Amino acid sequence: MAGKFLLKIVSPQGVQVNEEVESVTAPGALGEFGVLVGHTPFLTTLRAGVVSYTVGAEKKSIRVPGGIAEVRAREAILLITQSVKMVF
Amino acid sequence: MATLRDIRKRIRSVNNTQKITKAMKMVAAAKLRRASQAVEQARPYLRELEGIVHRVLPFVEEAPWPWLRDGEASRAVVILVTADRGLCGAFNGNLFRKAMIWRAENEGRYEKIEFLAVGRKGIDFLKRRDLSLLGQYPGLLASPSREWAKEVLDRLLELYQGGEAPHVYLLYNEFVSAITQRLQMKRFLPLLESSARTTVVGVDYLYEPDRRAVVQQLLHEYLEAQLHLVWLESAASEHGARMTAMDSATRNSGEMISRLTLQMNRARQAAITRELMDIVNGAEALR
Repeated sequence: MAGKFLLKIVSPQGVQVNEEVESVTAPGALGEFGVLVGHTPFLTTLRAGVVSYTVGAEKKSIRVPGGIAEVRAREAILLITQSVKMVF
Repeated sequence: MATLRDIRKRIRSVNNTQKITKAMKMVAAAKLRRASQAVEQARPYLRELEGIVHRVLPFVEEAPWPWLRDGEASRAVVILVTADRGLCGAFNGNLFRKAMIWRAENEGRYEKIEFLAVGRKGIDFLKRRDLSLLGQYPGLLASPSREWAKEVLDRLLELYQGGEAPHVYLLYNEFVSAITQRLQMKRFLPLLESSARTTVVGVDYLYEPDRRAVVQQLLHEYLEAQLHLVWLESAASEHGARMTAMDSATRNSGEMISRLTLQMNRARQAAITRELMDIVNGAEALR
């Protein structure tokens, strides 16, 4: 199943990521969680760690210092508290 | 009548003033560029945060969140966000006027209206008027950091929980463009007006670690980010206002210089004519 949904990663320094993705893995308060399209509404705090997501065959990751995440069926919004650096 | 020397002196002094206003304009323009960029970057963050808060709030309304409690109150606090310095046109004056008008209009609604001032100009103004100041934060807007938003928010929540500030308002300049600022008077606390209650739509969220903790953090972040953006908006507006004010000051002194130069040339010409007349008259007399 290759449904896509919108991933937004926004920090106070601006929009870091805004694209259609197939899956996301992020460090939630109670451990890593994975998101695919059609996920049930979900609200969690984020711990410091690495968020990775796939766009087609490509896999990308981004380091986050913590924040808040909201997941809905067709959209995942990750709000992070500080600026981030890309890591691959 | 002004002598040639007086006029020259005037021109020199106006020239010096112009140099200063021009420099201030350039500095303001440079700072404006950075400040407006910070505003543009911070806006999407707050927009997304606000979206989440609005979607989540219908599910948590019944919960005993102190920040959501609404209702009539006898006291109000206005956070007045001004500049630290003047020479920025009507920037501060507009805020003062609005603050006074609002205070007069709401005196019937609240028994006590107090202020919390951010920026030296506001502090001075409120002290001069002998108005009640609950907190003062000078020099904050030189570097409008997140830490400052946190500090002010902590103070506000302390007042709020102590019942000293059941209603909190924000009065500041919103950055529209380099030449336009919009005066904003916004309710800050509590979060919801009773009329704004929405009906529950969709499924409730799953919360991790639990509803209380995550909503607490969400709302706290929302309030803090809101304050932070207000600092950024105000700082950018201030630089914009100063740039405009200094630009017109520079133009005005330019006009003044050309007027004085004309006057000086006229005076010099008059002096030359007078001297010539003396010589001619002298020569005539010798004949």
